[in-house]
Amino acid sequence: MRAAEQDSDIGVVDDEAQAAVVAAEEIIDEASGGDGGVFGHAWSDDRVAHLLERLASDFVLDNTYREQHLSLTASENYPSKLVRMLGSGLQGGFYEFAPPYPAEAGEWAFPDSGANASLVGKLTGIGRQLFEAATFDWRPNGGSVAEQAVLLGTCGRGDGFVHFAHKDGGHFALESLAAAAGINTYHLPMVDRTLLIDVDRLATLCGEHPEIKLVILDQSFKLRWQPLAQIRAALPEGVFLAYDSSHDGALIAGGVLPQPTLLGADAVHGNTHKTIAGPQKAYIAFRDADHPKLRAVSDWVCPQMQSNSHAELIAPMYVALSEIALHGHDYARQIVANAKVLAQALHEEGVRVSGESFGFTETHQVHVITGSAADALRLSLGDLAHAGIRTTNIEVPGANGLHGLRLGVQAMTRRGLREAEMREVARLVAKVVLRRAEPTAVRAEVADLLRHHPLDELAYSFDAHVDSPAAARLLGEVFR
Amino acid sequence: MTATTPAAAPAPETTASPARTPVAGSGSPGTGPVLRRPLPPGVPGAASRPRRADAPHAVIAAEVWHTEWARPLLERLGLRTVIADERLSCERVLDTLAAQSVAFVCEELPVSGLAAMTWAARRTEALRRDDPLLGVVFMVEDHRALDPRALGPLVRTLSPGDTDLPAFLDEVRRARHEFHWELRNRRPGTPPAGRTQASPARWSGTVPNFNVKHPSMLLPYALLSARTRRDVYCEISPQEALLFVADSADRGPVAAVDRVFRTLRRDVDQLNTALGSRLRLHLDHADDHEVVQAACEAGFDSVMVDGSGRTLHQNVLFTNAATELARRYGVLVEGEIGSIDGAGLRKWNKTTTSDFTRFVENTDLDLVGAHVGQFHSFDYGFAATRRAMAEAALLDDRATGDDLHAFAEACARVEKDLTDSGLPAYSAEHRLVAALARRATTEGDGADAGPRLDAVFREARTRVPVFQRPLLDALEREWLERRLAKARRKTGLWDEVFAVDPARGHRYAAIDHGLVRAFTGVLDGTGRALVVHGGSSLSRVDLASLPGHGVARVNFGSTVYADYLEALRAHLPVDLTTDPDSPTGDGTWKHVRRMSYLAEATREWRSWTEAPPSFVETFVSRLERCYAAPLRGRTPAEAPGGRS
Repeated sequence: MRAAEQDSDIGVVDDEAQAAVVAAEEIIDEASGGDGGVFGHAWSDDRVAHLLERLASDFVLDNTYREQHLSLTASENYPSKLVRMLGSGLQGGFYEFAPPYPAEAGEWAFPDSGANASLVGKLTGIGRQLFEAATFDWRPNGGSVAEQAVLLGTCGRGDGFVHFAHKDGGHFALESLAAAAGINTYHLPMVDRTLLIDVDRLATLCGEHPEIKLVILDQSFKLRWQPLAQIRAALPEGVFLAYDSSHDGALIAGGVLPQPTLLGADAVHGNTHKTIAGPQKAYIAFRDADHPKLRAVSDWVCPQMQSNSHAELIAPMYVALSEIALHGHDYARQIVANAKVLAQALHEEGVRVSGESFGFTETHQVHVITGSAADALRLSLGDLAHAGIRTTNIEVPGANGLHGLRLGVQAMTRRGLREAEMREVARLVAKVVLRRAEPTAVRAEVADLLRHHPLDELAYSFDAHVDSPAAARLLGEVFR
Repeated sequence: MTATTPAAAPAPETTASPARTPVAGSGSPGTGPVLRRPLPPGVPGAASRPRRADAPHAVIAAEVWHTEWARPLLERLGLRTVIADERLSCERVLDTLAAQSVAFVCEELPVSGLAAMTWAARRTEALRRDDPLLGVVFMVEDHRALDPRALGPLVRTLSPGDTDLPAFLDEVRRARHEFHWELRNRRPGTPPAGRTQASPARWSGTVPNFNVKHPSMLLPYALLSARTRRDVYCEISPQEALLFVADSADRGPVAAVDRVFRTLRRDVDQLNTALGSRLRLHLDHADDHEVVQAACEAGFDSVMVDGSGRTLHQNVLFTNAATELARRYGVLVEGEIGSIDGAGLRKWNKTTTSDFTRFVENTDLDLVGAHVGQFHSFDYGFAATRRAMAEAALLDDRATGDDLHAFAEACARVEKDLTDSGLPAYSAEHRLVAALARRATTEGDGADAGPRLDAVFREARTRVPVFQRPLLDALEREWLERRLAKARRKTGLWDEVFAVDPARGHRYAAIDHGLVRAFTGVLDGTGRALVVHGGSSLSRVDLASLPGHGVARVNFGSTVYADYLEALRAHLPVDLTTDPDSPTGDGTWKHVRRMSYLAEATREWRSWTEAPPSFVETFVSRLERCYAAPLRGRTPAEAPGGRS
């Protein structure tokens, strides 16, 4: 009886459990659309759909922002469609890549298909060609990593290095690191009027401080080409001369500015997202494959400062450099022509433009002096931003501490703007900066101007080939 | 190929010119080389696929987007959607996106009744900080929460089952299109291929080009042409077509203008056939592509694409796009450089030679207008007229019946006054205003009944205590004042449209002969010729010198019109100079009187071809003596620009 009761109890429990299970299954079935499919299929789809829609919304906003804004920052560009899309390939791998000197496979070497080496070979080949270099290390994940590797690979505790002071456009990535590493910092002596390095005083500086092992031309606010050959000649033997080409990389590769390695620089390094319209990546190219500092600098890049070099960016970097190889000369010439016209037109509008004595600019940058730091900030983040014009505010080199705007024309040159349009740009900037025009009204004019220069048809790029059968085959494989 | 041999005079046109249809390909007989620079490397040709950037945006609050019934309605519109939430407010999104690219913002309405009216008004004002034509949609679960008639122009509610959201989107687009000439500035689409007429010659001596401010003026122009056996151009601007000739603008200004163009073409063809005249039809001062296309399709012989109100660069872009369009129809194209019109940036400055040279180098025109010292009196503000008419239409749209929108605003105002005077929200006065607002929206809830606000007030007066009666009167006053303000605004808008009186005080400007010589020098060898506008302002001596400079056309407007009215007055005397007290502004009233007079006096003008009335003969003599004769003689045998 007891056993029977127990059985009976168990039977009740089982029935209840069975009913609960049936009810749960009904709920699940309902939720999954009644097709008996994967558990929670529809529920999960709905949530994912919401997530994707919200993501799409953010991209709509940002893409529209890019379409409608006049990008005059000196440190940005528009990568072409292939550059953007190729980043979808080679994702998910954690690969060790060989340094730019002969080395045996080490502890972190991974077996792979061989495609990586093939891609790297293409990339380093074109990199060496564009920068007249013997090596091309593509691995640094950014311009700061590259210059920090150069600093740490050439200087040790107690040594010294010379670079541009911040007021003269020096980059921010080095001084704190140098202080932490016990490396002394010196600033390049400048002639304010010409914005050129005072080579004699540099020679004196290096003579007085024999611990100086590195001179690095890391200028971010850059209007002029520096006398590299004279600098090399003035430096004591053994001092490493590095040229940071983050800003003017495309101008050098395009032949508008001289090759630093041919004028005595030991290495040229920089990122690939300013005048070079590539991914957020960097390079270090040595003039001499047997340079005594090559191994140290390269080892600081990897494995000391970074372990992963983002293999997915090899192909985009290669395409970006290939666009420079094919269109670089026209692109670089147009950049400089646009910058000169922009500067001249701003000057004629009555805006105070730096560098009148040397024709305002020799690079992609134009510096506008506006007054105090607060004035410049108010303009760049306030009126100009509301007017649809992107700029950044800086302390203008050679302007006795005055602040202003650093304008760059490379991005707009990629959108197809040329001299005539640059005069329009100058007029629009002057309306806001000088005449305090209503930003909303200027913004309508900006949008009107940019409507003629859509982002999906970039100049000096491979965008015109993106619909070709070859590109379709490539992208089909990339997205597979 | 008449246009490639500019010296050849065209054969007299004795048959009617059918409306033109576009020709296949981009070129046409008579087009010179396109002097445009090559595109930068990597940029495909201009005729490319539709761009994402052309689709407008909708900014949708997350609560709305995640509402099951609302999302499909919004998705169906195919807009680029940005979802706003507490981390990304609608205002922040509107700051980021250029004003005219957002069609509307859609938010949830969290309250109902009078509070909803106030809320909607406040939110609409906040959202429209940069763009007064931003569409605003308030989602309501129950359509009774807020009567859409209580909302302002381009504001509406969205409730379950709504099907007319696309119509609302069209309304926003249409209003913007009328307000912003920048939106009409887009490169026109490629018209379908078809056959075209041969272009008239660019050059057949220096010919007069007379304004048409009333269709009856065509008859004397045709008589002049027939009697002198020469080309005579007659021109009409879109502004003139709308204000002097159009019968109705119900379907929008461009449709009205298009109708006028077609009627004129028919009239000109009939006159040419009947009288053997060589009257040519020219579109004057068109600054948007829609109008240029309408004229081309109507069969005009020549169009003036006027980008002179823009900067030189924008002028070149506009002119080239319009020229490309006109070439497809085989129509002569005139461009303008130097802002000789009222909308221009440099109205009082003469065109500079360097601007003129750059303009000529970068465009492919048949004729070029420039400011050489003449005075150009008429304000060709078609864009401003479109804008004013669109604003009046928006006001009309809401100011119907008892104007519930004005009543909602009045209620909100009185509510605020009550609050400011210290009456708590639960007071009888607040509740009374809320009840009236509720009654106002339910009273007219029948299908086509419309609100009956007078009945609401009447009923309230019988039921409220005497001490609350002043509150009712204050509310009624606020309501009427708002309606009156709208009516005043509309009157002001019509004054802006019609305040266009020819200014005769500036007659006889001095022409700069050195500048004319410089310009004709620039044109030398290009096959193009100069056009001088504002001929009414030039002395007879200056006029007589223009053929020697090789000027192709001289345009006459204000004085010809004044002469016509003067001649007509002999036929049907009336004093048009004194205006009685008018219900509208002076400009509007004067225009109404003049148009009424012309309509009455020239009602039968199409039947006058056989035996024109004496005043027409008087006017033709004056045209010949004062305008046409000085332009003859000392004319170069060949086009001054030479053969192109």
